[in-house]
Amino acid sequence: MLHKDPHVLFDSYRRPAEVPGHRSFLRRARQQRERQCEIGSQLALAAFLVASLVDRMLRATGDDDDTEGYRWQLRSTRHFVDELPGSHAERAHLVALIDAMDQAVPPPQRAVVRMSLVAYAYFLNQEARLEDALDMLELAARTHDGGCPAEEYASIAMFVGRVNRKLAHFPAAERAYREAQLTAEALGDQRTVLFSQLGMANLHRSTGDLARSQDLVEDVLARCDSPKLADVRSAAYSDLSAVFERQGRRIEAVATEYQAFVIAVDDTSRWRTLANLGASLVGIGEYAAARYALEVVAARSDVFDSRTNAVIELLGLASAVQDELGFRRNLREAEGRVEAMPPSMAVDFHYQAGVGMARFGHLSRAREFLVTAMELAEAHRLNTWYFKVERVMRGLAACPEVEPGPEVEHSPWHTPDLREVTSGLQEFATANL
Amino acid sequence: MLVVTAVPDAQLFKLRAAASPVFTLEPVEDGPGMVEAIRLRPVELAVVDPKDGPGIGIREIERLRQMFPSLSLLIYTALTPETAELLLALGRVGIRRAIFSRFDDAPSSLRQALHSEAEHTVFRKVARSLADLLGALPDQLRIALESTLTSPMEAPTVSLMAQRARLGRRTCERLFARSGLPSPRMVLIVARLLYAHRLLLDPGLTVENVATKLGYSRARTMQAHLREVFGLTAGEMRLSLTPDDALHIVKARYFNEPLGQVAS
Repeated sequence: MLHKDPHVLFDSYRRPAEVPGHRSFLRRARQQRERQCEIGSQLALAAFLVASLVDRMLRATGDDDDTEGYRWQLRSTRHFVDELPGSHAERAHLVALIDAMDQAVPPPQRAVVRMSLVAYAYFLNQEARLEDALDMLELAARTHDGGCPAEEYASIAMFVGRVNRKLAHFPAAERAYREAQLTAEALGDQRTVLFSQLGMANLHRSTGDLARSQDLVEDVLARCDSPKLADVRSAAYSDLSAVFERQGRRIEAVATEYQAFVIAVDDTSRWRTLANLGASLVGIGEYAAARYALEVVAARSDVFDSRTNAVIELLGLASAVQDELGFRRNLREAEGRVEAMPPSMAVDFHYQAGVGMARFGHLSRAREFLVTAMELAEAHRLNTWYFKVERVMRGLAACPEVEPGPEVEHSPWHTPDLREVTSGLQEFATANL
Repeated sequence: MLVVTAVPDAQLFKLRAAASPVFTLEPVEDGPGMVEAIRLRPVELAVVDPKDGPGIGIREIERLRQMFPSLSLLIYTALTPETAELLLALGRVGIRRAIFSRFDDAPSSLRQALHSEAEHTVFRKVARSLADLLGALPDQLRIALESTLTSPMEAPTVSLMAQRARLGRRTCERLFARSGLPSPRMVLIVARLLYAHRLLLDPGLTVENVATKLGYSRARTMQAHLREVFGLTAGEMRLSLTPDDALHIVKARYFNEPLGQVAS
């Protein structure tokens, strides 16, 4: 069986180890403390302790002194986690990890610890705790002695690529996607090959190379006719829609995203495509249809990304229809999540908040939000976003007395396609709200 | 080995239990107390609990690192949301390891941490650099040589080394000769000077500080030995000689190895 070394997927592999390790958890503890969220802060410290315990397990020598020290650390870490309120999903992951490391017969089964780490990484990814997720993935990779089976390697590489892309760590994301693609090709795993190609397309889109992104997505669509690859097809339609959106081909963006939604195979992708669809509908002024889509996602999705994206879009929608109360409500909700937002989402939020503030005549607040959006876009090399925000900033500076109105006041496109989308969404919302 | 500590009493109690008998602890209250101990005592390692406020905080630790880059530093602190901020700053200060009270301070873990940090001390670096030259010595004598050089209480002499190796002085000299080495007195002198040279590279230590730390009765004695062995004054060595250069000179002059390229 082919084995590969997963450590090469991580940037930290190329750097000297930091002291202390697992710094993203400490940062979270500090942020939560600043927000006076005692439980959030304690949870982050608990996660730090559990991660440190995994470190300890991985460098165990097995001699008596070392085993005694490990058992001591395990007992005190368990005690700390046990004292946290039992209702938090993150606590359940930490308990599972401690249980995996607390097996009666030492040494703990690394495979069991690995599974718990990957499950926790998925949870953190869904909560948009991306650096934490990457850290746990790296720990999971370190549980492999002498390389991991190629199937698992490809799956870890895809996960690492996705998280790095969201973090705007583009070179690391590209390296991971390429590794996933090469490994999957060697294994004949068509699904992973196509998903990794979509990952690369997403990277090109993020850095502004829309033509290259479109070529890659269309190539995937041409290669995933089989019903067994419906999940790939849905993801590809969604990615193509995002390219159309950036190219200003908004009707095509809506129609394509709707196709992605209709064939979505699971709730996670269903809520994600629905959130995207809502955003596209806002863009063309189809506010009623957009609201159907976004409210369902905000109410039903348990994935941080989709749920928060929906709130951000509802924020934009409220400002577009001059609903200041709704705008303030969604602003408050989104502001509470801003620390956990990945870079592109944070730029989007500040952009929508800035445009909204301008529409309601609060120009200095608008400027503050837009400046932050530009700084974030620049810091993370989100070029398309940077130019988009810059255009709005220029408009604001040139005629500060004029509120920038919504880009489209009323939908000029009432095509049959859109009517079908609206009625489909209305039906779905009625059934799901 | 002498370890200076600035930690609360509960942590000091645990450290004492773990340190004995290899490490001798010297507690201090604050930053100035620590600087004084480092300058005047043969301290090799410091254990610190960083505090936000009075005591030794991150700024003081940063200053210690700048003044005494050769000193090994171990952080031993409580894990709380308040200390998270301080811990995040540790990376830029160049700390290798942090221990959290209640979690990884089992006696065996503390002992392990002290031993592991001791491997990075200046003296261990000097000892490693001489290891291949002293390889022919019996283990008991090599260990005695190291402990004699780092003894916090006594001046290093051949008699002390022989006593620690449980050998007579004459036997000790014979064993050195049989191993093709210079006399034990000469080996002690050059090892001590290599050690002194590394310490001289710390901007926070004066020539007098280094002499005091290494147990010379007068700085002039150390200066004279430096001139004799390296042909340079302490001040000149500070500016012009790297640890590798110093080692090359010692190997060439006293261990019959060809003199490599030495920086002028």
